[in-house]
Amino acid sequence: METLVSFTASPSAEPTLADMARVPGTESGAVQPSLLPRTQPLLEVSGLDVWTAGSHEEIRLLESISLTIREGEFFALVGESGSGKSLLCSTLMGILPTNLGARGDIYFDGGPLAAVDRRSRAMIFQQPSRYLNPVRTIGFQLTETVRIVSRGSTHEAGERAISLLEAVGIEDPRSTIKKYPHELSGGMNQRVMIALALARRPRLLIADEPTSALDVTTQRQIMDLIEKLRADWNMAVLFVTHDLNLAIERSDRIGVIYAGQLIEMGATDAIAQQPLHPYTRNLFSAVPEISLNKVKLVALAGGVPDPAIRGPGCHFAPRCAHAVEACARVKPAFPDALSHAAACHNLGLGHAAS
Amino acid sequence: MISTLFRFTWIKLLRAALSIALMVTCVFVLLRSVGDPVTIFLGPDATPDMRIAYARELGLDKPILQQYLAYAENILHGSFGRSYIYHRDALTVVFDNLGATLTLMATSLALAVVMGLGAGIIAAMFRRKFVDRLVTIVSSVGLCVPAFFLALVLMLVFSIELRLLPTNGAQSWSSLILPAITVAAANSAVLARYTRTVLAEALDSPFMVAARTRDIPSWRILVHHALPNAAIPILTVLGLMVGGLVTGSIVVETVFSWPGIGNLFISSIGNRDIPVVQAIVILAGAVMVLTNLVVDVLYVVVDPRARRSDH
Repeated sequence: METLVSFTASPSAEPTLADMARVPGTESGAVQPSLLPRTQPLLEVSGLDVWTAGSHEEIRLLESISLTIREGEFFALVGESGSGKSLLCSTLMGILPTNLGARGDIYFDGGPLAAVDRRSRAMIFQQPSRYLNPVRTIGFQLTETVRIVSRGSTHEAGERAISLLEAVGIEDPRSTIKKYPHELSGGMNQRVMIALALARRPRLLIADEPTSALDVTTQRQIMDLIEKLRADWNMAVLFVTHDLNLAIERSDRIGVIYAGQLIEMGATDAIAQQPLHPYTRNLFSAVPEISLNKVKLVALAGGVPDPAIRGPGCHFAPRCAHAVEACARVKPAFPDALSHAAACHNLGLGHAAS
Repeated sequence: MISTLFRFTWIKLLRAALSIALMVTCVFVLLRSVGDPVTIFLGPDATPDMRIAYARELGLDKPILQQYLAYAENILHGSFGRSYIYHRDALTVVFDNLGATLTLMATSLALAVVMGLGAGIIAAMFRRKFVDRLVTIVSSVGLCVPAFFLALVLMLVFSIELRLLPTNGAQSWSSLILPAITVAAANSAVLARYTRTVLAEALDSPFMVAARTRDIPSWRILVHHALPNAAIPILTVLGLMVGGLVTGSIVVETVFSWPGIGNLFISSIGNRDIPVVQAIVILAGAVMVLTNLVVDVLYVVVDPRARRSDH
């Protein structure tokens, strides 16, 4: 039985939300009702568990993840290292390591994921130069992928490889296809990775921290490219990141994941204006800002709990300043079908300030 | 790329020459510190006159530096001196026995490559499965059993019990089988384990994950992606193996009375036939250096990252 706990304001002297969620570009105040594209759901995940066999019982690495990504939507999944973001990507791509099990329903374009053409999804990775074969030319890897997607002559595949490199903004594609990954910069390699993904004409592009290993300028270029291609190729993007600001800047909707549990999800504007879950609000206060006043950076004590010793309740409870008695025992329910929702027993706190 | 390859080869050649020069010097120092050949040949009761005459004949009466220079000059001319025993040019004596050793080396190397690479690839493809464990166990045994013991066991089974193959000599191709298997056993075990490790590493690397998300078929992943990456470290081991085969077959040649340079080496040491020992050691060392040179050049062919000129 789930216990609903007090929704009334707690009297503690919390800083106001406006202080905590000071995100560039959202300070104007007026909350725009989020204009979500009312399109068909493309990916529907419900009750997804990913687990590994422990010594006594199974250890759950992802716990009842449910989320929906609509066609053409830019969905950002935000979480820190070890939260299970990459595991979710692997599950969606069908490349989960064999010692892990997954259960739950995943529907893609109305049908079960396993039955859908695998080409509908493509993935790019954090460190592009490690995810490209170092002893094969860019051209070899690209034409190989092209020829797996569409049968055709070597010449046609070569021409298509060149046009793909053009599509990702590589200036000199004809000389680039003769090069090896180590001869290109990180940003160029990430463009090549994106070209490899585009070769499959995906409807969902899974981007696992695609810019985290790149410098800031390149990061912006790659993000611009992903946004442009998303419109040009009509793809949905599942963008995985630990960078909350980047997610707010680029995405339509955001999901926040902590220790394998999805804890908050909603339209980007709504989350930027009014984060509900204590963890999300902590994330905001951990973002450094440039200011004349000396502001202490808030760091959360402790770390993400080890999957083997996670309790039955909310995994954030041990680090949460607002935990109530039920938090450690009962997993808070995630209210479905809301534009913005959080899984927390003590949500009253957030609403009080607004 | 051609010009960098050329420069790279030149630098490597210079280094190889330097290594050989160092080795030649070491051989000179070592062989002259093991004992006076005059005493060994003439025995303790030779007269001083005989000793002086014999030393002059061998050039041992000159100062050590002069001896060294003469020795180095002779080696540059390809002359290793006359064998004390066979009374012929030492190098000719070695070359007479080289054919048999090369036949044994080539056969056992081919066996080792086929068995070692094959077993390693299969083990890496079926990691942590039964076949993998089997390969690990068999290769451990292959590594642990000393060559002379394996040779005796093989002889006992195939020559004495089953009477299928000869125990020694080199009369027909059937004499080659047992020595070749003995030499190949340890080498293929090394190769199998090494191939398994580097190929498994290549198969587990991030770019394989990426290739799998692109639905590259597994045979293509193995042949076009994993093996070219694994080839780089495997080449190193193969190079060392070829260099080591020359000297590594000494024990096996002795056990099977195979008329190669290993056998000649042992008997020449017993006879204190310094020119022959010298020629064999220098030849074996040169083979080691040269195979490493070939491997270094092959790296550049196999690994595009090694094509930069900063080597």
